[in-house]
Amino acid sequence: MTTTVINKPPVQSASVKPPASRRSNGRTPGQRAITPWLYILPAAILVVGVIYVGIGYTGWVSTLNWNGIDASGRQVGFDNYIAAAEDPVLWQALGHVLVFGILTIVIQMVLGLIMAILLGSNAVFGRPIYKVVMFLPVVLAPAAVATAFRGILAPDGQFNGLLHALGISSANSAWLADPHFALYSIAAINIWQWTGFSFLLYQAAISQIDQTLFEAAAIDGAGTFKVVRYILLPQVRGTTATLALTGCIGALKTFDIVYLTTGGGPGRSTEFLTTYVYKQVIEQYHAGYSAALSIILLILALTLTAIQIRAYRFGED
Amino acid sequence: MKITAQGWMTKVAAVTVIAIAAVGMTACSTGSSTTSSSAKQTINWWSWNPDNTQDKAWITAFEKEHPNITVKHRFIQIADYPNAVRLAATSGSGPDVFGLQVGAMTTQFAPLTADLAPLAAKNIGADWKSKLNATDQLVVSGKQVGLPWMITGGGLVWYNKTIFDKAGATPPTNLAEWQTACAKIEAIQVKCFIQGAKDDWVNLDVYQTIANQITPGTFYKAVNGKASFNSADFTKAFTIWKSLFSDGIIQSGALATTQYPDANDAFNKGQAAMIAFGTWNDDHMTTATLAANTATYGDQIKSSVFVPIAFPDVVGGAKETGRLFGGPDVGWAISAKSTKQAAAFTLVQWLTSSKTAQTMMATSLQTPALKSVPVPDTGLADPAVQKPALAEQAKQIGNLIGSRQITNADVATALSQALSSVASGQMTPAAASASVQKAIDTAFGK
Amino acid sequence: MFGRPNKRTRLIAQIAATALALPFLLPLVAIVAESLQGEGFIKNYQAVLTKTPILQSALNSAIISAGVIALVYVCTMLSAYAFGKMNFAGKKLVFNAILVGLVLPTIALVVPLFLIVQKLGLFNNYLAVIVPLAATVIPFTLLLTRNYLAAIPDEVLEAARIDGCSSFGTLVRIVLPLAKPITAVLVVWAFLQAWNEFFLPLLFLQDQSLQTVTTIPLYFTGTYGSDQPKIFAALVLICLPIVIAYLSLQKFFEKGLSAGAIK
Repeated sequence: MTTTVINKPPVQSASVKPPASRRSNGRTPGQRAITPWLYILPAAILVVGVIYVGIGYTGWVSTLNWNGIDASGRQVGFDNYIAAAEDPVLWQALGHVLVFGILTIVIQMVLGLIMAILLGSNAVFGRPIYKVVMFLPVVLAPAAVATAFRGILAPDGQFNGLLHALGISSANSAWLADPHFALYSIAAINIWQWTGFSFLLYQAAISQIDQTLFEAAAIDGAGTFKVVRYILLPQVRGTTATLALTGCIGALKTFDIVYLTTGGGPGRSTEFLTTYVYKQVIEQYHAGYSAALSIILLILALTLTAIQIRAYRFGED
Repeated sequence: MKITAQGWMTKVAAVTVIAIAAVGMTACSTGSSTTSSSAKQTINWWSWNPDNTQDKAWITAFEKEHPNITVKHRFIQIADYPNAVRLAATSGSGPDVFGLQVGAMTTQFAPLTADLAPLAAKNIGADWKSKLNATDQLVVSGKQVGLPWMITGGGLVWYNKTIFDKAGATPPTNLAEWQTACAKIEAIQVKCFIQGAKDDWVNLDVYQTIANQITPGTFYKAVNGKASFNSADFTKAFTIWKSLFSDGIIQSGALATTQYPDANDAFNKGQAAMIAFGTWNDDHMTTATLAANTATYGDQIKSSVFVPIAFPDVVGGAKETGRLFGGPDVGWAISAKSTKQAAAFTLVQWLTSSKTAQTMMATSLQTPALKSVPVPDTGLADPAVQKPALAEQAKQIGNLIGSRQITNADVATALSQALSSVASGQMTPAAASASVQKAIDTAFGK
Repeated sequence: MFGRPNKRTRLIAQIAATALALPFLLPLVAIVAESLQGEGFIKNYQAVLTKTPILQSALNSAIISAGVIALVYVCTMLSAYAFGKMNFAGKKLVFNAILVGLVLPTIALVVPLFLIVQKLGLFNNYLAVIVPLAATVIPFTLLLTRNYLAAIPDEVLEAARIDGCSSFGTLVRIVLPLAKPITAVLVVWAFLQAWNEFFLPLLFLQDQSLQTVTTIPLYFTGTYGSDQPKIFAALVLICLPIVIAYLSLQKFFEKGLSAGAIK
């Protein structure tokens, strides 16, 4: 059982067991060897038929000098990868993704968890309203979100208006148009949009926790903070790990909100790997180079995934 | 009919899914079972222009004159258009006729198109090239990949005369006058000049205009590798471009504003007094267009007077002002994969060189591709100022200084990046010229 | 907070929740306010409902969403059960191989998908959109669901087997009922992805009568300028079905439903 590592099973009895006992638990004596494969088959067919064909095709295109339109491209081997390694924009973009990823993952998790705890109990009045407010940003089309935030974060927009109302009368920054703030502003928009998703997952995880644990803690006189720290957090560790992993991948794949608010600018100050991939193939007609960047993105994401899977397993043992 | 949000929600959630199933089914089946006579053909026509609000008028007029051909139009906004067409046009189920933007798109999409020169010679006449404007911008390696629909030019500034009058400002001809006008306009709480500098194309327009004031026409040689871009002139143009931002001509926050819809909305709502649009905005001089826009921008737009003027001399002693650059705004191409080439060309011919279609074009004050159709100057909101502006425009359209669109996408990208970086203080003007020159050298193999 | 909160706890929780929710609410207000500009609430929303084929596109999107949700649910539950609760050689490898699907940028999929759809002659067929969408959603839902199912104590499954359930019987009778909260997440997520998809329908469903709800704003988008308030009205209306789905699945998150059943 090596892949469970990104999730720590929340119920104590299943959490730490010697490998031998896991194996005996996993397969009942009469289970045929082929059974698990039958369960996996439908998902595997879909993923191989679509994703792997996509990866294979992209891998092939990444070895071409091709505009994506002509009948065929010219084979150039690894030239596109060599060019990518020397491309300062790629490294710049990776730096942006790193900063963006750390900010958004941590803040979205913390805010989502706090809201899930607050709204998970019956202490708050009008919970459905709060839940809708948290969830609406997740479902809104990027076009609406981006257009609205271009206005909100403009020098004469509502955000500076709010700052004025709070007594910061000098607030006149162009939050998205200033290279010093643009990346952080995009991170803020992302946090606004995706905290509701962290909230949703924590909500599902908390609803699974055995209530008797809380009741026992209450009898022992543990305060809210202690209950969260020693009972709730360990119980939702699996979700936290999942969010960290999907957050990393999400950061690497962030596209719409960047493309529609700053377009990667000013200059290259908010260029992401995905916006660069898109611009290379759609605006500059470098399908081969763009495919190589896609493959680099894929390898990066896989490496990150592997590291995280290992990290969480070590954390568990 | 009053529908509250609540009522709508429940309806959609519960009832309509089933109810509309019936509607959907019938719609599908009528679509596939159109009874057709053997001679009748259906043409798929894709474009970003005309859009969903205008296409019916074109189709109705066309089908009236060509009853054997049915046209199915698909509007795809320009943001998604290249990605959709580059794929669809490689298949037999894509468009028969599709629009092309001159410049990089035309160059790259050329393999997807049929050569229109023989068809044009046969159907329009041997002298087809002299009947139409600027057909040469739609030629790639000797192949006529499209025919022009209308001609537009950039290099202008539009001002809202209503606001100017209210502020007591006069349209500027140079930088000092521009700053004076801005002071007066900002005094009545209106933005002076709005630039959607997130959109590269409008930055390229303004930069070309500045460069043409310093060294008329050299820009077009330089971006094609036939003159140096890394020169004092182009560096000076970058310096002036930067000063438009730092001296407050271009509004703060411009780099996160789009030309469409953000800046355009602000201009039409009367929140900004000036904008860098080209001749494609001409229909906004007509009372008809203004009236049609009240739904979006309120009644105030009906009394607004929009007037184009030459971009003011911002370089201090411009060699020339008022020169326009441009060409075909949309070129109509036929997919090489189309199995209905003849019918497809009937549509292209009608759009580009029929009296009916080109007169429709002229009615919205756009310069028709067909030279024999004049642009009327009727229906103007304020003929006293707009008639002379139109006359000047017609003169300049006949004397274009260059082709507006850069044909090499890498050069266009390098210049766009340089403009955004210079404007935001991340690059010096000298480094900007050098970076563009580097892209030109790579593109033209030096 | 946990258990029966007293008055003071309630007040603090209420204030904290409000303070946290406000920054999320304000931009929403701005978005809704934009949809009321121009001709105003009634005329904007009326225009969306009457001047666009919104009912038909909603039906198309509903068909696509239903297909995606069904496909994702079946594939995810079956494979998550195997990955979470069975042991077999090569499990780690296959699981990670499916997770690779999480990371491929969508733009890299468009061209190969187009070639496949072209080969199979699936233009103007809902399957051309449903199958690729499901394939891109499954890696994510599998990750979530597998973790969730793995957390179900083995004792529960063992008990079912002792009672004579086959492995499939255990999945249907024991595991699926216990997995309701994650099922809610899965359904909402698959619905969101399918309902909001723009480019695949644009490319593969070329027939006007097959257009999806995401194309509705295009009726107010012009070549030069667009009717922003009506676009916002359309976007607000379009997202309502997902919100309704989310709200109606809330009962799956009710406390004790799963935890109580496990014990």
